[in-house]
Amino acid sequence: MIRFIHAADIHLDSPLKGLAKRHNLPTNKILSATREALVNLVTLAINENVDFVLLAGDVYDGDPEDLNTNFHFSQQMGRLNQKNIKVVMISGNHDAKSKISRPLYPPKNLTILSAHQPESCEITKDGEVIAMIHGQGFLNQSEPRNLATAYPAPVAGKLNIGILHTSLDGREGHANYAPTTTNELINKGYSYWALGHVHTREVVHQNPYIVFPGNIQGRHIKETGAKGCYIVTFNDKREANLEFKPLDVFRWETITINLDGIKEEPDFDKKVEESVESRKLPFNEIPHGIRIILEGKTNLHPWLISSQNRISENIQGIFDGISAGHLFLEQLLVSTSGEITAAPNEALGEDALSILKQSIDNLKTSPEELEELLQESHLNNLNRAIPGDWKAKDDPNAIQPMNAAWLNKFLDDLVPLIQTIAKNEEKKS
Amino acid sequence: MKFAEIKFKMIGPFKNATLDFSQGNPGLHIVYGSNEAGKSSALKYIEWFLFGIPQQNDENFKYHFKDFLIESTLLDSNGNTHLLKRKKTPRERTFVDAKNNDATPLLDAMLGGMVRENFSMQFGISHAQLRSGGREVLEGKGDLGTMIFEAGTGLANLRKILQQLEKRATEIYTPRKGELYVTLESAKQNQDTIEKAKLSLGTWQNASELFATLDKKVRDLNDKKSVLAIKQAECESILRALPQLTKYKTAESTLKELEKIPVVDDATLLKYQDAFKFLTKSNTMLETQQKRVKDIEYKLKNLNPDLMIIGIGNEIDALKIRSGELIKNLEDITNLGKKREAKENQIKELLKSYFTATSFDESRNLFIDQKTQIQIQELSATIVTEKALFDSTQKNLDSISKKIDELKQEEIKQTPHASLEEITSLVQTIKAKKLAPSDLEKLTSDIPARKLILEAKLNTLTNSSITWDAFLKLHLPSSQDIAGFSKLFANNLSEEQNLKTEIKGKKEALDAKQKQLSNLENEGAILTREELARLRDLRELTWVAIENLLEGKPGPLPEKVTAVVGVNSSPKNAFLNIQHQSDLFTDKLFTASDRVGRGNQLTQDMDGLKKEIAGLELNLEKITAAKTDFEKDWLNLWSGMALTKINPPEQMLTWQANALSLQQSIIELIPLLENIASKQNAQVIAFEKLLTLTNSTEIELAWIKADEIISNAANLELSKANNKKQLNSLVNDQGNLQKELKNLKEKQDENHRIWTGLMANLKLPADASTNNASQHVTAITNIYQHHKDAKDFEIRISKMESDNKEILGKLTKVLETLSINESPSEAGDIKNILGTLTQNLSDAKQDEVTQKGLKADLKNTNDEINKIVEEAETHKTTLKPLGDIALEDLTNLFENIRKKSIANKDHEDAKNALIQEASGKDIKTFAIELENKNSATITGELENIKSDMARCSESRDKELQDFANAKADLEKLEKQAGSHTLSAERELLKSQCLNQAKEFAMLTLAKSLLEDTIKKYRKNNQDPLLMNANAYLKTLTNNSLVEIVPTDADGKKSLQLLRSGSEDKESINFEAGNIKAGLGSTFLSDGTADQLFLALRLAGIQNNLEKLKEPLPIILDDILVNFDDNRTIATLNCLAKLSEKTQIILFTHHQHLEELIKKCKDHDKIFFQRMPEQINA
Repeated sequence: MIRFIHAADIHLDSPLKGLAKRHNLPTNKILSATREALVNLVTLAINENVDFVLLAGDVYDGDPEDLNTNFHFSQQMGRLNQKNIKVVMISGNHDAKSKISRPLYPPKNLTILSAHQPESCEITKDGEVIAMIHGQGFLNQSEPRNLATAYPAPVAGKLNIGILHTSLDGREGHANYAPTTTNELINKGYSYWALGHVHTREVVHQNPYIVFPGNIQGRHIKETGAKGCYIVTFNDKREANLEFKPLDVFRWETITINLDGIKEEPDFDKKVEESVESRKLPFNEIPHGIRIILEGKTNLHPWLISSQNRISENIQGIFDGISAGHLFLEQLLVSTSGEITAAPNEALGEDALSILKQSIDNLKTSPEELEELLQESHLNNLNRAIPGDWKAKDDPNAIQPMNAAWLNKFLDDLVPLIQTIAKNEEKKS
Repeated sequence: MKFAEIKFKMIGPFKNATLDFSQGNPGLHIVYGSNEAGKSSALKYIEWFLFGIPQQNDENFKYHFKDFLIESTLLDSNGNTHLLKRKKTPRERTFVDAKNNDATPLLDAMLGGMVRENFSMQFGISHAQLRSGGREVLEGKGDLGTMIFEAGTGLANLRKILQQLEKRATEIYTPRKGELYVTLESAKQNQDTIEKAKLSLGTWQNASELFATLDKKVRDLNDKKSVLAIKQAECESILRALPQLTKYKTAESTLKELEKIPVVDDATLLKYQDAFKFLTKSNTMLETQQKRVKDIEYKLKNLNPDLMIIGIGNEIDALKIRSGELIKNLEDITNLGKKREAKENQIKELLKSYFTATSFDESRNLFIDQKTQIQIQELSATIVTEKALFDSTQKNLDSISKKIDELKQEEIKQTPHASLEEITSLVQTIKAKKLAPSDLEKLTSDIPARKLILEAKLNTLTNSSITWDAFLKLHLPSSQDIAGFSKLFANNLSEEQNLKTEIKGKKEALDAKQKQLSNLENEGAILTREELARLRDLRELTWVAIENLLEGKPGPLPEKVTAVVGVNSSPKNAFLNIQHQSDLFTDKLFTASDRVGRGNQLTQDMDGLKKEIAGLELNLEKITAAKTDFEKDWLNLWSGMALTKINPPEQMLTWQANALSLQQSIIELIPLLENIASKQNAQVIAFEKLLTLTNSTEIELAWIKADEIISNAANLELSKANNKKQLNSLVNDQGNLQKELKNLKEKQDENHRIWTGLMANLKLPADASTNNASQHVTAITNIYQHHKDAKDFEIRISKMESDNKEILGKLTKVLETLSINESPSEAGDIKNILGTLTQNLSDAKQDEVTQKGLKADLKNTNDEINKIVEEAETHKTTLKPLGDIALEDLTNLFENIRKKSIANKDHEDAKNALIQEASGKDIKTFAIELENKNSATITGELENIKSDMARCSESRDKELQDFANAKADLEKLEKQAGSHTLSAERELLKSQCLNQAKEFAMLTLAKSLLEDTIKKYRKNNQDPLLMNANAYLKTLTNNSLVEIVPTDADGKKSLQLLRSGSEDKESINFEAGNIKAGLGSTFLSDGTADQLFLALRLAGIQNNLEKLKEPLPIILDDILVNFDDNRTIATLNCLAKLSEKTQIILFTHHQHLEELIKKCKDHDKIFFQRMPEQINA
């Protein structure tokens, strides 16, 4: 029997994104999530007494700027070394050989397969070779070649395992990452393909097994669900058994709530509570970051739009009530709709409302006008105050106060916002 | 309606004063009048003309009410002209036309129902009305005011929304404030911290390299220290072992020597030695003791004290008492007997002498009573004393008389020398002049000598011959001058010397070069290049010959060649020969060219030298010239001095110093020379007199004699005085003594008389002298006494003799008891017998004591002997183990035993010590190892090792500290939290920031849009009146202010005046009821306020005009008070424009308007005239 762990995409010390600071946030876990997950991985390997561990690329999120990152990895590998558990790893696009300026001082149990050509590594147990690991790491961040092609033929009589960081075929947006095809891998004649790179867990094929274990710690709302590794067991008949083991310390989920027909605020609260509870999240085991997406047609729409922050607080309150402080609102997305009308004698009269609507329509089609309108405003000052890296164009969470596209998202919400304030003013008078 | 003309016929201060408004259509008419020109009156009268003269007025100071008359020509809207008159006649018509018909209906139609109050409100604007009217509008009063604020209501609501948006937006973010700002600040700090928290490779590598380096250093030092410690231990071991080895070897040889000597432990040996000592001594000890026993026995034999000791003692005591008494009595008897005999002899003697000396009456009783005896003796003594006193007094008196005679005689002798006085005065004179003969002589002899010396000095002073007088007058230059010259001379001289030396050197160098050149030239003919060419040519020829030979074309050598190498030479040899010659020649050529080169260099050098020499010689000439100049100056300095030679300044300086001192000496000497002669003469006269007075022929003697005479005379005077004094005292004493003598004589006579009486009483001869009488008395008394004494002695002796007989008897009895037959005859015998007895007794007692002591001694000595014998036996037993060794050999044996014992111990100790140091080796091997070791060398080595070790420890301690620090630093680095948590935290901040930024963006967008909306809304909902006002304001302020934005929120009216092309930011805000600008706004000046009011009023007028059939003229009074020139022009333009619709009459006290009009765009519509004159003007 051969037993090993297959993990990938540790992205050590890459931070969790999207959560705002909160007083009861499990800061310790969140701040060191990827580290904790790695510790969990190592602990698992030790507890399960596996024969070896495979890490299929992207151990690091990039060239670590802080040497402590390297130390942490080395220390964890050291723990495995103490138990004589061998680790075979390759470099991925994030930690391609050419990117890493700080050399690792690997403990003797750690084998990093070459990034220049395919390399094979023997795994021995009680003096006998029990498995052959074949693999090649990334030399550069971009690897358009099909690396698998050059992998050696399986060694007869042994358990042959291929380790590869790849986008495989047909995985969207992953063209430059050692592309190959499932068929090619199947035909290679190996018993197991330990893949890395795709963060979503997937068993692409069985017999032979072609497996993406996903990353071991979700780092933002797009990496939802449990994250971890596979414990793979080959029995003496070379039959594989895969067992997923979660390693993450913080988990992400999205909950979409349809508000059709909801008319009053209390109804809204109730609806949210029901929706969250119905998901039956294991928050008692692991804290969750939740994104709430509100949909549907409701006359609460202007209120939802104009009071997002306050509603966010409410929702967090509901979370606290449900989970006793284990659920955290990542973001509230209001995608509801509702009719906007001006009743006579309202603060925002018919005349003004139509002027306002017309202006918004104008701005929607004219980004230059929008930017010009805000030149003199504090938004421009704010734009200057925002750190450059927070404004990055490809970042979905970018903060771009003077970017028309970024601002455009809010234009539809302005009338509800102003209308809500007008109503409040009317109530006051 | 338009005024064509208005004439104040008789009213107020005017008479026939006309204002002409005929021009223009209808036109803007400006009436200028200075203050007090009647502007206000004119305005008032125009109003009166239109609406009637009020009943109550006080204008009748010039004209009576009934005479008041205002005429005006009016044009109606149809173009008709009407001449109309306004009067103030109570009972007649007050308003008539030219035909004196009532014209009131006509005017009313033209006024269109306008009453006086409304007209002045709407069409007549004075400055005060402008302000009050404007304010009313702004307060929303009147139609105009109401209209203005109506549109503002909708805006107010929008503004409230805007405020809310702003409020929330401000909470979130303004630069340096708000929630979002706080978040961004945290992010910034976080970013900084991240950078700091990152552990860079460099930092870590440095730290770990430092750690490794220091670790190695410490290890190395530890190793070094260990090595040194081993070495040290080795050295120390050797140093310990070396003496032990010596000790071991010595002990070994000793033991070998003493092989046969038994081994005895120290205690036993000590015992042996004690026994040996005792036995050696014991014989002598025994002998001594035995001898003592013999002595004692002998002594005891000779001793035999008796029991009689006691008996003798008692008898002696008794004998002593009796013999004492006897002896005493015998002595007393002898003494008393002698005394009695002496007394008797004395009496006999006394009687005999007394009888012979006196005619003693035998009948006379020898007894004289005591009182008489005392009287006789006292009187006798007195007589004797007084007689002696009388005699001595008489003697004194005699001697005094004699002395008086002598003194008188001496006084006659003492008379001083006649010439004393003269001598004294002469001596004093001489002394006063301090001219003792010796001094004078010295002086007279010294001066000429000094003069001679000075003269000699003067002669040696210079090479000049100068007279004494001239020399004294000579003015010498100062030392400073001379020193200055000295310096110049010295410089000049040294420069001269230097130059000379240099020139000399150069010349020598030149000579040397010249010599070298000559040598070169002499080195022989210089070879030429032609010669070389010839040789080359030859070589070429030979080479051709050789080539020919090689090509198989042999031929004879050219003649040129054979000429050099000989005819028989082979081409090869010829070539070599020529080649050789060529080489030689080339060498020569090089040598030659080198020589030429050197020659050229030499010539060049020589030219250089010559030039230098010429230059130097030129300098030398200059210096010589300078020297001559110095010498001239030098001579000038000494002018007046006939110097024969110019000496160098150093010498002249000395000369000058000498001359100065010489001059001084001569100056001092001159008065001495002058006085000496006269003094000498006076002295000679004085001394001649002195010689005669002292009867001496020599001055010295006379001088001494004179002193003697003076001193003697003084002494004589003194003794004369003393004599006189003594004489007087003596004469006095003489008198006293004579008196005393007389008294004594009288006393004597008296005493003699008493004495004669007394003698008679005693029946003594009357002429018995006082001495005799006393002697008689004494003699008689003595004889009497002696008789008495002798009788006493006789009685006592007879009694003693009887006592002695009794004692002697007793003594004889005692002696008999003692069996001493010899009877003592004398006391001396008894004494002797007693002495012998006492001695015997004492001896017997002494013997008794001695006998006792001897017996004890005898016993002790015997004990001692026994003890010695016994002890000797024990010691003999002790020594038995040693066998039968003679006692005298034992000392030697003991010495050897001791030696062996020490050697044994040393051997053992050294062995143990060596075993310890040998560290496992056997001693023999170890000893061989140590053989060549030298203790001094090892000690030196050890010292070095120790100091090395100390250094090593010190550096290790230092490194150890550094190592510990480095280790801590590295551990700290490796354990530090790392920046990843901070980066993660930054993500949290980013999300927070994103949420806040979204809200802020929405609010900002909403705000901007709402502002836009408000603007548009306002535009859409503006009142036409306000639009007109805005147009006027814009014109009046030259486009500075463009819009009035009235707001009426919650009944609080406020206004904004917007500036052209700008937004709210630069607007002027104020509450409508208070035209003072609000906080944060630009200042609303008086001018601006007036312009605002005027704009509103003009808009209102325009509004009203449109409602009237017949436009009424507008009458303005000094409304431009607060306008600057530009705005005045703008206003005039504006009014000119308005004057197209209706006539405008503007009264002003600003004359400069006349000028400003010219600058107006519509100046052809503006007409300027002055106020007509007043009556009293």
